[in-house]
Amino acid sequence: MAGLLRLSRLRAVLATASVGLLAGCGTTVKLDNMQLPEALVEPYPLTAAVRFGKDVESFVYEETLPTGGTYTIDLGRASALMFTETLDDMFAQVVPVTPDTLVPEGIDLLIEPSLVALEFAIPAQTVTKDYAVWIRYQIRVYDSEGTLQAEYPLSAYGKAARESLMGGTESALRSAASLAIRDAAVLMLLDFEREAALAKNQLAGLAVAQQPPAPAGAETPPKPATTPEQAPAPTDNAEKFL
Amino acid sequence: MRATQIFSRGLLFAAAVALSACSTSRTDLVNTVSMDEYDGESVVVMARSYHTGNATEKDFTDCVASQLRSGRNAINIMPKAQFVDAMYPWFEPRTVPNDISALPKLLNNPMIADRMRETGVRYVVWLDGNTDTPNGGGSVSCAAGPGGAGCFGFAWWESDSDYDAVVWDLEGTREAGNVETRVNGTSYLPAIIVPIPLIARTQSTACKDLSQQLQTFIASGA
Repeated sequence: MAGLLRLSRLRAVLATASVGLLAGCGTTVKLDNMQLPEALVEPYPLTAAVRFGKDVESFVYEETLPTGGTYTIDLGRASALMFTETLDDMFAQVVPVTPDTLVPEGIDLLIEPSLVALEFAIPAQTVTKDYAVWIRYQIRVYDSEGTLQAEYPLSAYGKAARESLMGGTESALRSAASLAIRDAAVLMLLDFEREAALAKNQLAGLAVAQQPPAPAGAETPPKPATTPEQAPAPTDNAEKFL
Repeated sequence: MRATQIFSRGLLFAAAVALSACSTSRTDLVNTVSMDEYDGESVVVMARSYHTGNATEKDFTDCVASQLRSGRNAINIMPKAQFVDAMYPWFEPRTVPNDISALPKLLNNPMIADRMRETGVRYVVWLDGNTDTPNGGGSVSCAAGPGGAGCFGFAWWESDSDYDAVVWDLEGTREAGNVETRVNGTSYLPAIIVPIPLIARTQSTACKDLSQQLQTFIASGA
């Protein structure tokens, strides 16, 4: 009888251990912080309001892969921090507004980023040592009257390799997600004018309006009009941004 | 008894030599221009962007940077992250210039050129390439029981470490030189109760060979 009791206890311990092991198959990464260096760009002499759209201030993505394993990527406020820092570098003044606020007085533009999608890939899928993360945002640009002037997708990508054979999954996935958010910041900084082509005309107009009047006789040649269809396709190096 | 011991030790040594991992390496310095005398300027070691499909391992980049800053011809290395942050957003994976021809246009921006001068970086070493294991075979099985544990079998794999380092001279906005290294090796894992790994460290050899050549090239201009 005592032997049977010991056996059932052993089974219970083994079952608990198995559940514990299976529970340990999940991978969770959390981005608590997002700090970016100061950008080497000339800010627009404008006041922009920023209103965070869907999922920018809090986003958790969870997926169970067919091959096994549940992955959770918690971006937290990382996207919001990234946009706040980036817009601070892009504009002379940035005014944060709450989601239910319409266009506030005294601003030139209102920018509303939303997080649309997140995808990731693990080494078993990439057939490399790499983890990759894609994040897609949607950027809406409104003028001071609250009229939608431009809307464009911003697709960012980050990749990081697992540093050791037996571990480093969380660290690599976290690095890939951080790099994707940093990539989004770079695209926001350098692609804004071209992607928000309608806003470019407005940006130029607003910038001109805020500059002191030109001396009599001095004429500024008119800028060629650019439409979204005419905007050049993005490439993957610095030349397109210069 | 003594003769038997010597014989068995000799046999073991011969087996180890026969089975030891072997590798071959070749390193070439090509396409050089005459270099200015090295005067302690900073050098930054970077991997080509993954946006171009490059897969240079982070540990290889770290190894080259570490090797360059040590030894008789030690070079002043600036950490990559520090340089990339200082130049943000112009040396990010998406924006980094892929070719020397893009550099003058980048440095034409006074804000970028001033910051570049502030960093004190004179040379950028761009690393390209990776380590592959194109072939392998065999198998090792391990088992454990109440009486003990052990492994049995034999496995082997080849490793190819193929890297290329291009040196940019930021002051002259020109490509100063190019070092290529290729190391091949085969690793073995025989297991009779205990597995004995005989690893061909091709990546480590490639790092040492490449760094040595780069150090000589930058520090002595040869």
